[in-house]
Amino acid sequence: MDPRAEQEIVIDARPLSPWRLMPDLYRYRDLLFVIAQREIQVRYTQTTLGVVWALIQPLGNMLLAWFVFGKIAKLNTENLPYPLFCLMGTQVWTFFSGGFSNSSQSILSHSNIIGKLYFPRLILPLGVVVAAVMDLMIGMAFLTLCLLWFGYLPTWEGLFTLPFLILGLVIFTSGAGILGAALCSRFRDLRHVIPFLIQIGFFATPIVYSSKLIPEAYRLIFMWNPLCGYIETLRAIGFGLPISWPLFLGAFWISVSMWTVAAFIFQRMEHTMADSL
Amino acid sequence: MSSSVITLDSVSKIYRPKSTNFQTLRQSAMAFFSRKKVQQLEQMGEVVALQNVSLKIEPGEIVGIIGKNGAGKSTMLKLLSRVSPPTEGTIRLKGRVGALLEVGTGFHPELTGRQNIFLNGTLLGMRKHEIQARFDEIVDFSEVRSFLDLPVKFYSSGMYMRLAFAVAAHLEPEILIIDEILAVGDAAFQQKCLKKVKERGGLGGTIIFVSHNLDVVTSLCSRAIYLDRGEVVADGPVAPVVNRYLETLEFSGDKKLWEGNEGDDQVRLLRTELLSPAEGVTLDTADSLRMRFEIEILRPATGLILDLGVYSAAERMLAYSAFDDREIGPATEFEPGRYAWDLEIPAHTFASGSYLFRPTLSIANRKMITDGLGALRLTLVNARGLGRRYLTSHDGVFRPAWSWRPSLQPVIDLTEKKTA
Repeated sequence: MDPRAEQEIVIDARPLSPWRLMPDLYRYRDLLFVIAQREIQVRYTQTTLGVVWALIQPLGNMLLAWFVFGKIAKLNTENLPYPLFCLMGTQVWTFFSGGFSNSSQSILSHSNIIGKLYFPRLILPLGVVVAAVMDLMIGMAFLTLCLLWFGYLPTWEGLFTLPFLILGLVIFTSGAGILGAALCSRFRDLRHVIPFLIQIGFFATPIVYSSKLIPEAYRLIFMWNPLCGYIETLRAIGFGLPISWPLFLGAFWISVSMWTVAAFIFQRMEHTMADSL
Repeated sequence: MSSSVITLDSVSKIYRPKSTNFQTLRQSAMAFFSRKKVQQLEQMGEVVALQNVSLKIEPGEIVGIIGKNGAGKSTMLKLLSRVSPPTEGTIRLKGRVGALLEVGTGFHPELTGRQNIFLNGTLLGMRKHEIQARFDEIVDFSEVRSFLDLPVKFYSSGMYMRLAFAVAAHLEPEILIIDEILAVGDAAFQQKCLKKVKERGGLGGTIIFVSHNLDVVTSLCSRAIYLDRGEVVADGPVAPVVNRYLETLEFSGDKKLWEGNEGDDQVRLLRTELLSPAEGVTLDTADSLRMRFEIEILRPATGLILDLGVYSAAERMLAYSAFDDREIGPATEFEPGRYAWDLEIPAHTFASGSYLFRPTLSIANRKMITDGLGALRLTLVNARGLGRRYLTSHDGVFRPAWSWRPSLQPVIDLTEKKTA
């Protein structure tokens, strides 16, 4: 007999404990990638430009910011080319805002499946973020080409840090997405708050400006936003400047803590999600 | 430790009405400041879907769950399939659970048949390589091979259902939970599905099965559980439990008149009524049944169809008759106003028993107006009808007065032949 058959599942009114959830997550691991694949396929099949859309959004954001902040407001970027400087910001931001808002909606938008089938609900917001990683990779490749074109060569230190930066960014985005998904499934009003939060985030994050422009008094508050650390670190890597380790590690730490708290809250609510949708 | 694959230990499920179940932020905040108010909210209008259910299901059993609508069947399946947790009590499941509460859950219309097989399969809990290994089998079963790379939104509903069931049928969990889905596709495909399910049962898999079709339950299941208002009323071998259920259906009494006002902004159904035999008289198979349907037309309607379906007590459709499918050519246009349409069912049509007469109003090829509302339930006895000489009784539902023309004299006289 299959050893899994011996495993007994006990269901009662209490939420599934994390060590019960883990084997389930493992069993459904293929679903994660199938969901991610579906997100990508649905988004790009039958569009004329296909995957090119993954570049258009950050590029569009960048051009807009370049015109408004680079040409009109003439922000100081310490002699770094503003379009590149800005593209790094919009690249990270597009990934975060897209991943966050889509995964926040993922539970609500799959309510029909949730009411009919059991699977670890956590897979839905996670799958959406995994799908967004593909866009991020395309964007990063494009960014690398631009940097080389402008004659910037990364340092070894920078190349070594980049995977951790992406990892941290993915952890933070999925953490925010999981939390958003759990809360949106219970509190419907939040659905309308999220676009607003994203809009605030765009200005509260040093995307179109450098964090050096933030007045000293507020800087500590901004640093609690991990995106700030990631964008500044990405710029340091891209332009071959020294990396601020406290900033990067701080961002990473906040991301991991946030993910843990978010997953905990999600798991407490997962149990009754089918009834509250 | 018991050998049961499924054990329910005093399980209850209580639903709170939607308005209090999903709280708004404001309510949660209020709850934080004053516990009392939210408790008040929660106490109003609870629905007890299952009450103190305890049972055990052994490996290899095929169990049918029967009961009226709202008896808790769907809730039971939701609990067993882990979609929703019990409010009280404990459920223990041994082995993988596969649930088919709906065919095609998670199918994405934009994706091709091939992509949907993987999406649906993994949602049902299969691993990718398992699907890969059974891919050809699934495709052959579904009979949609030539459309495999077409988005499923271009599929006919039959193809869609076949593909969806094919995926589900090839999931091989230790416990399979099925809700009414065998009612998909054409009759031939249904037979194929039933066969597949039976095969599984033969392999020692445990199957929990909900259906309104008592014939299917009787032929498929070894055990039946009869639920009523969230409680187990009867549990055991399938035949006695089904009979017990049928009895309560028949005892639920005749309904000779329905009054209401149902429909849409064009056509309304106001009244369905048994005109004769008169009230107070036991209905007999020897009498003709006259029914009247009162309809109000608010806007001119063309192509109006009144379809009367006759169902057995087990809710199996036996016959139907529609107004007006006797004629050919353009349909009558009905001007606004009230109409009374009468129907006569000749004497000696049905055998004794309890029947449901369910009208459906629609406009041909356009829309459904009412579906099954205004049903009448009539119990016929055979005191004056056919078959009084020998008082035999059969299982049939029709007892028509077909003409027998027996030759009363021998056609070939055997006595003459012998002597010759």
